[in-house]
Amino acid sequence: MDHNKSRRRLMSLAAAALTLSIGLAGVGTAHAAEDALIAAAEKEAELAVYGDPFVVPILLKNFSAKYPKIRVTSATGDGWQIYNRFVSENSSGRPLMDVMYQAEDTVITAQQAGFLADFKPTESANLSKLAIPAGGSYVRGNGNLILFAFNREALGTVAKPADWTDFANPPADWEGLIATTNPGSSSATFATIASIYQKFGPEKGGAILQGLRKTKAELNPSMGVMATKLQTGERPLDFFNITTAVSGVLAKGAPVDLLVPASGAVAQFNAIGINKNAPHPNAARLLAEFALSQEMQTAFAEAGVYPMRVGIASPKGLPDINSTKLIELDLAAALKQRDEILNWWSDNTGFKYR
Amino acid sequence: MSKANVNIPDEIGVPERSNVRRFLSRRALTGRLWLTVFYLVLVIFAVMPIASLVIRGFVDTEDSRVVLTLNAVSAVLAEPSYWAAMWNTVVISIGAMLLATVIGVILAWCLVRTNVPWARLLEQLATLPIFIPPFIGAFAWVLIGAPRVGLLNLTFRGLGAGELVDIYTYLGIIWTTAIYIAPYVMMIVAAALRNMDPSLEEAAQISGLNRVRTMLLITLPVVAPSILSGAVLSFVICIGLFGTPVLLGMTKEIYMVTTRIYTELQHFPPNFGIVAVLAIYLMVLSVIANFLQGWALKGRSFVTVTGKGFRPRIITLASSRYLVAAVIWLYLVLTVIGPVIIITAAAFSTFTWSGTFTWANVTFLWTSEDVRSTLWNSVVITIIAATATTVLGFVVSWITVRTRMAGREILQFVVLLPMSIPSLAFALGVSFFWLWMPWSVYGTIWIIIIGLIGRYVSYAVRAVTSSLMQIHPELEESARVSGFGWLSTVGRITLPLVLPAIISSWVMVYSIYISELSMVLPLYTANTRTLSILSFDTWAVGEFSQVASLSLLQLVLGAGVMWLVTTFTRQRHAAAV
Repeated sequence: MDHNKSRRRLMSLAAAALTLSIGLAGVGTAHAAEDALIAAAEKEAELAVYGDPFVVPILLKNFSAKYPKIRVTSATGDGWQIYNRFVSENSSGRPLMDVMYQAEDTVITAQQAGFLADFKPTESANLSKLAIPAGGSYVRGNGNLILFAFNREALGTVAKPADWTDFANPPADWEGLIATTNPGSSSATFATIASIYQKFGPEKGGAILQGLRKTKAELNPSMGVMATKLQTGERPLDFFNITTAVSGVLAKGAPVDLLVPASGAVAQFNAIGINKNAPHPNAARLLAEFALSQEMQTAFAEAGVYPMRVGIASPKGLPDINSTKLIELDLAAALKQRDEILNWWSDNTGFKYR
Repeated sequence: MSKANVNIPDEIGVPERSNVRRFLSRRALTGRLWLTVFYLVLVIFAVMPIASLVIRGFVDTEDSRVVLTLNAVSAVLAEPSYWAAMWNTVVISIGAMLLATVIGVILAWCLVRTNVPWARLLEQLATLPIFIPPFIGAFAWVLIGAPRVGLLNLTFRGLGAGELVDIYTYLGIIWTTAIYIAPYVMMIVAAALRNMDPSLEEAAQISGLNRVRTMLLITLPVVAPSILSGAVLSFVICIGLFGTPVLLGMTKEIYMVTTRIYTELQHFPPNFGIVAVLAIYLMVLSVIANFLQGWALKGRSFVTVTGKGFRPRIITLASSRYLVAAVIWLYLVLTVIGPVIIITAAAFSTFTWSGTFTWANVTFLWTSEDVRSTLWNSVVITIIAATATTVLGFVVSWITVRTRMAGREILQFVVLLPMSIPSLAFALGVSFFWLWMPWSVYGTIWIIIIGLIGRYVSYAVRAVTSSLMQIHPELEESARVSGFGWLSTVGRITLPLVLPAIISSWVMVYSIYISELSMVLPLYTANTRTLSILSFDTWAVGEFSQVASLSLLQLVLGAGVMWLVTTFTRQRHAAAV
């Protein structure tokens, strides 16, 4: 009996030792692989990142601080503008971009066109369910929420919208106060308009958009410009705005409030794409891994950007993305109907998207 | 004006001895070879972008084959929004041209021909708007004239007058554009007024015309070519402007052709054929403007500069001269002093009109890696491009003015061709050309430098040529007779004499390059972003206070360097005297 007991103990100890050694070996291998990637990336010494004008500067500031031997440059702007630049360069045989970090509709398009390399993050187990979309063919680096935004001081006693449908019958005193953006150039705007299209349908959704025409809404060139006008009170009521654009305004103490629409906010994501012809493939992979690391995802949250890693809370002062009511958006389906949705928006708002 | 027989092979008398002849013919050959290389460089810099743009408008790829097509032209002609953009471009450009011409002519006349106090200082200050990039000027006017929150509207509302100003209108765009291009007209007309023989006006007054009628019937018609030249230049600048229409026009969907090009580049899938056709539209507009100018002046003589020495006649204003000075000061407040104060206030504010001030937006200038890298790119690109432009401009001027080389007229034509092409259109041509080339400078700072040189070398040629033509060739001939080689003659005689023109040419192109946005927009990549691109991106993400602080930096780089160079050269000149 005692003999059996001590044999079982010995066997348990052996099993534990084996598990530990395998685990340590695994960690060792992972560390070795990570070190090899860093060494290879530092040997390449350069990296070009194209993408989101709000998030890419935050990402690159942290990346450069951690890997000072890699010189990072960037081109930022609206998703499709940057995508077109990337395609032009690739098509003429002069790929300059290593990593695309921007709205996922552009990353999906690049992937379907065969421009991107496969990327499976090493730490996928630590990512939230939002990080890997259905199909799992690409990875999201951060999230954004699209909500109602208004300047409480400039609006004063004017009623605030509670739901998207409020725009279908807008109060008279909203006239001249509302700003919106173009879904033809802005991915976040397209995601929102597509969400309204899918959630409310062409008729009811169309009535919401017609409210913009009734209130003489203004079409702004970008979410950032809209955020500026929100902050100054020039256009104190945004049809919607994105948290990355507004979080900076909030941090400066501007009298701006965000509100989740009763029917739900829209979640929009920036995805990571590595160019198949990246001039610096190792540095590109290192940046992609870094973007998803605990360190960077924490930095994102501190800068008002929604992280995609489990265990990191949503940014302070912004709604929690996991508990916020969201409109379900089938982005892949929306992209297939892109022209139809854009024309629908144009017909109802009276704005030209092109 | 006679031409100097500087030692250029075609012009030299051929000596008798055959070995000397062989030597000379070898030199002639070398000379022609160099000239050919020079032509080729200029053709690549100045002509190929225009050719590429035109070609891109008429070709497309079908099944991997390049085919000639009118699809892009048809698409542009069939789409009402492109017609609207064309209409807006014409209306706004003509409006701004007229306003800029009126302001420019009045300023020139008051400052050159009247006894307005502090005329010299006022004239120098009145040229300053040139050194304020249009994007920054428009940015300042958003803060001044935006509905609800613009300073003017806040003031009017405080006085109970409601909101009287909206900068996002046709009038707002015309005003903001005109006040920043009026100095070009002023400088051109002021030069003509200074060169005008006063005896014409004296004769008119002896014949019984009063001052106003003399000005209207004699002075203005005599300087009409300069006024027309200034007006056409204003028009060409207006149709190619990008920053002002983006900031002020897009808000109310007042799209001009340049903003349409920009929005086309933002959409997916992009249609580069349409982009090229829209750029060709701009070229056609500027060609028409130049043609009309030529047609208006055809067959008329406007000779005002004769061998007789004279000084421009000054019209004595009584106490009204102080009123005139006050109006000019008001113009300066609106164009320079006010915007700079407002931008400075915005740069130190936590956010616009918050009333809370911070150093953060200014410290950002030296803590941000983006600012550091884009500033470095801007300075390197500007210094190399401005220097190369000026050197090329001098060489072209020297060849066309001082030699009788075969084909020098073609050389001048090649160089002057892009002068009337809007920057955005020219830059698109540069990008098309270099993306097609098997070897390329795309993705480097060199594509931006090449683009800037090709587009603006004509400015340097104009500046240096006028100075070179004023120097009698006998000075160089004397040097040659004294045994100087042609290189020594150029280096020791010609260059020192035209140095002021070379320096002013360098300063002029420097001030353009340091803040150039529309030329850089299609040509930059991640590696080669400039300060103007960073400002534009920062505006797009809504960091107004940071844009303001970047604007201040650009102002210092533009006006500050101009001041340094002119001060330095003035001191050297004074020391030399």
